[in-house]
Amino acid sequence: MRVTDHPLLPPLRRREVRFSFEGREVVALEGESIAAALLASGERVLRFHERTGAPRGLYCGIGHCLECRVWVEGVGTVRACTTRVEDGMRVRRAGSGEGG
Amino acid sequence: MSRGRELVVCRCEEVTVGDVQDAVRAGCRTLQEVKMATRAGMGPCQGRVCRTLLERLASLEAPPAGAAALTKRLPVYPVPLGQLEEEGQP
Repeated sequence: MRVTDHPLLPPLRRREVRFSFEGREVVALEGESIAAALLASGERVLRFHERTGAPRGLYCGIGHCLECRVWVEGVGTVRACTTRVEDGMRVRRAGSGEGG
Repeated sequence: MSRGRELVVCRCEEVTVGDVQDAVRAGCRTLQEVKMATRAGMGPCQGRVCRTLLERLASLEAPPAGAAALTKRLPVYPVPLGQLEEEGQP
């Protein structure tokens, strides 16, 4: 879900980009963060806690808490909330992939 | 303080109110000791999220020494050199 017609902001018209999350194709809008794109696509679980396995997702949304860590192929572990999504990006849950 | 033992205080290390209480009961008398015993505040966020909660909780559980402050960490993150290079381009 996205707010495409905000009462104050201009209409959301951006180029679509495609990336994958855990092998699933996700359509995002250019300039969005990985976290925003995934949330808009209905994905709330960004990783599982290393010790307890509890699901974790977007929490602070401003890069403070590092709860939203995901693994990006060729880059490594990043914060989903402060990393812009790019066309063709391959994203997995942090800790689930090689080098995660 | 019997309610809410399952409340998570430190999300990074998944430390609950109960874990902190148990640590205090086991002999921890300062926040630093609680931290060493439970790993609260030692995760990736370095206490950015839980510091104030921990300080408050410790002062309730083990006054007055419990309120002793934890080491402050600089708000810095490791950044790959490649990222700096990209951002430096015109």
